[in-house]
Amino acid sequence: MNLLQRRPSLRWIAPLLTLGLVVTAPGVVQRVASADPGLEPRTAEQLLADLAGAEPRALSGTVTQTMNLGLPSLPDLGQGTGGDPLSMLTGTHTWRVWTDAKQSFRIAKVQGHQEMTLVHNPTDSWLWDSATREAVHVSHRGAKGSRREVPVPEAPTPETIAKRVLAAVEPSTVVTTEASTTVAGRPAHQLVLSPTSANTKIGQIKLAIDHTTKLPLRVLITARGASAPAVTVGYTSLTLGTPDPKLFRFTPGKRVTVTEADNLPMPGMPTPAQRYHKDVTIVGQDWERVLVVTTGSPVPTDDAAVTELLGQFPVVSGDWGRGHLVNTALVSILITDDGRMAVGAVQPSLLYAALT
Amino acid sequence: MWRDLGLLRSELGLMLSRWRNRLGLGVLALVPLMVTIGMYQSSRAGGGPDIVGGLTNGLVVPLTALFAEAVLFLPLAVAMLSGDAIAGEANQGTLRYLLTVPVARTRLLVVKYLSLMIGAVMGVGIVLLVGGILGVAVFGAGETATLSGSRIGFWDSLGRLLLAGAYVSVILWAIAAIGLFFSTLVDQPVAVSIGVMVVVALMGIAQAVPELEWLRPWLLTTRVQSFVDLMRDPIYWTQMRNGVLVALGWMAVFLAAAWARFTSRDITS
Amino acid sequence: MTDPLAVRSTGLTKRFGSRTAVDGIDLVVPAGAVYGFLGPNGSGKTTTIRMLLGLVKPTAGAAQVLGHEVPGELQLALPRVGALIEGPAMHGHLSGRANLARLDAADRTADPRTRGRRMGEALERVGLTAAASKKFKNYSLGMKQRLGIAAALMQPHDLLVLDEPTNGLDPQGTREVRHLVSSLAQDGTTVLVSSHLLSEVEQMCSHVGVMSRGRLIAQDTLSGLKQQATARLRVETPDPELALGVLTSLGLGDATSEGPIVTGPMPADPAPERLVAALVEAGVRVRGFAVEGQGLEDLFVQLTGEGFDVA
Repeated sequence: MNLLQRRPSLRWIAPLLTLGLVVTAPGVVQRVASADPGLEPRTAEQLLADLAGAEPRALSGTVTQTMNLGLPSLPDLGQGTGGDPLSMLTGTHTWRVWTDAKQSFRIAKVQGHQEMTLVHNPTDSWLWDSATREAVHVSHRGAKGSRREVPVPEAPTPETIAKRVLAAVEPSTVVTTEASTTVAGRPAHQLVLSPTSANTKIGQIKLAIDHTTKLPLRVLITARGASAPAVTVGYTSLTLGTPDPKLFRFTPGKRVTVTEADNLPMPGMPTPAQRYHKDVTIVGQDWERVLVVTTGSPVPTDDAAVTELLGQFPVVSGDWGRGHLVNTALVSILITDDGRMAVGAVQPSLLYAALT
Repeated sequence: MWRDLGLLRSELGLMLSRWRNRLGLGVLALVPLMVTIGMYQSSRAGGGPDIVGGLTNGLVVPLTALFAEAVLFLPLAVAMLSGDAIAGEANQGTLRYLLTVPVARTRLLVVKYLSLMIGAVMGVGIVLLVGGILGVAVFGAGETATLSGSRIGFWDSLGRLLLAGAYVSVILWAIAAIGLFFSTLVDQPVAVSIGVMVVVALMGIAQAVPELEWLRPWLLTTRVQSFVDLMRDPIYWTQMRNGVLVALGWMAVFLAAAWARFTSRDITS
Repeated sequence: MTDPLAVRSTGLTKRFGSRTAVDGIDLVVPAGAVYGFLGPNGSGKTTTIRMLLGLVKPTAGAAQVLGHEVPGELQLALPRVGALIEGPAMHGHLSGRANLARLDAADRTADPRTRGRRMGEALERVGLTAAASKKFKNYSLGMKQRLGIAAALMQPHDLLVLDEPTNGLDPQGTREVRHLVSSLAQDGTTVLVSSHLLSEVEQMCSHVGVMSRGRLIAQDTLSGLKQQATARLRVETPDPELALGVLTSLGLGDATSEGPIVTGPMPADPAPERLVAALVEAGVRVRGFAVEGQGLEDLFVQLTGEGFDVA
């Protein structure tokens, strides 16, 4: 008799071992996938210059955004279509992006069993929503056949975020570097930006910069005092090269409702706010900026969903009025009863100040 | 080797010889019929949006039916089959005769699992086949609208439909592995079926509990629906690849457990 | 391969939790024997058979079947063993023939090309040809039992293990099974047949092993056991002490007395009349003297302390 026949209980080692392997495999794969490739170190200045000089590249890729702000999961006011910008503040979101680095790109937001797709080419912009089977079409031709500029919304790709972060770098930021890493299978350098202001809740922002293309591959935003990032936006896959041109065209199918418009509404894809909301102002500078939105109408008190949602947050008041404060590790949001909202990655006191 | 195929064939014959299983296939085939009727009525009434895009192609019917059955009916079918696999034989006493023929226990387990795999494919196949025939007969073989708003031709959508079937089958194979393990634990086939359905139901519940979010990537019931990514243009593979890997993980663990249990247990029934 | 022993076990033991079902038994089944495995229900016969067939793993001890270690070399031993274990169990919704075909398909050593012929022969041999296409669930208990035996006959086997093959059979069926067993034995097949019926074992078997409460309490050829059980001496006398003394001097030291009755095993020598003469000569008042023949049944009651079912 062999050992397994003498001691049948030893056979259970097989499933237990397999269980251990299966459970630890994702972590191991992750660690291997983000291993330090041991790149020649570059100074912070070199990396900043790399970023500034990075050429747009034709690529296909997938961007994943993970929000870990400590917010309760928010009800999806957009009826599951992800059309509600608030839903962007929690959970994980995935975009598939294609660009020819010139005038055309395509961004598809994968949300559950639906998809919202933005197709942009030199002549047309299309926004397609599979949930409603509606398409918004914006022609770039003016009334007399002339080309007109259409404001283009931005997907929160690492590039766009990096651009905005870098705009705020000087002079209130300490810039350092960290050991190289691997993002989406590509070796990358890491640049670390730490705000000097004590009023911001942002502890540091870490950029992963592709070794060969100098493209930002990932942005990690960590709250002051926290170890895990509150916001992660990065490529999970990236292929360089010009995508199939047919991806930059859109032909609405049968039974698709097409709306002609002058501008693209961009639910779920944050756009430079001021461009679309006249009642949005920015107070403060650099890291201490606070976004103030005035809706003009008070918060409804007869809507159970709204009341319940707001009821989770403490009531605060001051000479600016009375409202609910959503105070998370990374951002503070103040919603006043008279319908104003102040948002910033800052201490609440700056929100109060911004509203007065 | 080809004599092992003989046992597998006998196993499949036994599976199909049961009235209960034939009835089960019939129930699975009923859903595409209901989907066809529903879609026909809503298309006459002007129709609202549906889960997999515009109704321009009959192949939307099998896809919708597959979507509807992947979470409950198909796992239920697999649960029933896995109850018969070992526990049913033990319950009837036929297990002791198979083992003394002899059929080595590991070999019997392999053949039983293979027949469960084929059974799952048959379940998926009947949904696709009945749905495909009904759908094309009623709605024609035109283009299909993808979730990305583009349109794909009939053969392209047929290919994607088969891929969807293959993906759902792989997830069902993982459920079958759990069922096979349960089947080695007890001698009551009904207990096995209930056990598997409890696991499937728990996965469905865990999916909705925010505190269990860390568990979500491992839930087969969530994973099984990823085949809708086939209807994006271009196909979005990431979730399906992860789904297959997760299914392989479940399979490896539970097949190993079934082996450990079955090769060491006393057959006293 | 001709091993002189078809089955041998040493210290074979099975415990289920704290209950000892089989307690260190040493089976010896010679090749070519019809071995009657006798014992009341629950005495451990079926568990022993399951251990020999690899269905149950022994807690301790070892066993060899046809010269192969079990359960270690089970896959070598079992193809040469046909078995009917604790009643026939087949798929009720399948016909008798389909059930045989399924078992044959599971057999790696069976040639599917000859399956039809072999099934026909096996069914013929147990007299089920006419009922072959009937569903198993519609079979009578006897037919089920015979189909189970037919399954064991599909392939030539060196050892047949039949666990209670006549259970539930009418007298006619029982006779048929007996015939079958003896004709198989004539072909040179070793048969290990378990039963709780003494009469059955007595009629069929060349060797007997007796199980009681998990122990093998006797094991011999049938004639050997019969000899052990042949006769007892019974003397009725008011002088038991005196009688015992005389008997002891004649070599019957195992005799015992109870009141006016003295009993003891009756040896072949000295002859009964000489015993009577010796007793009378010594002044024992012999009021009664008898040599009582004893059946196996009495022996087993004596050995096991419990009776056997009579059916």
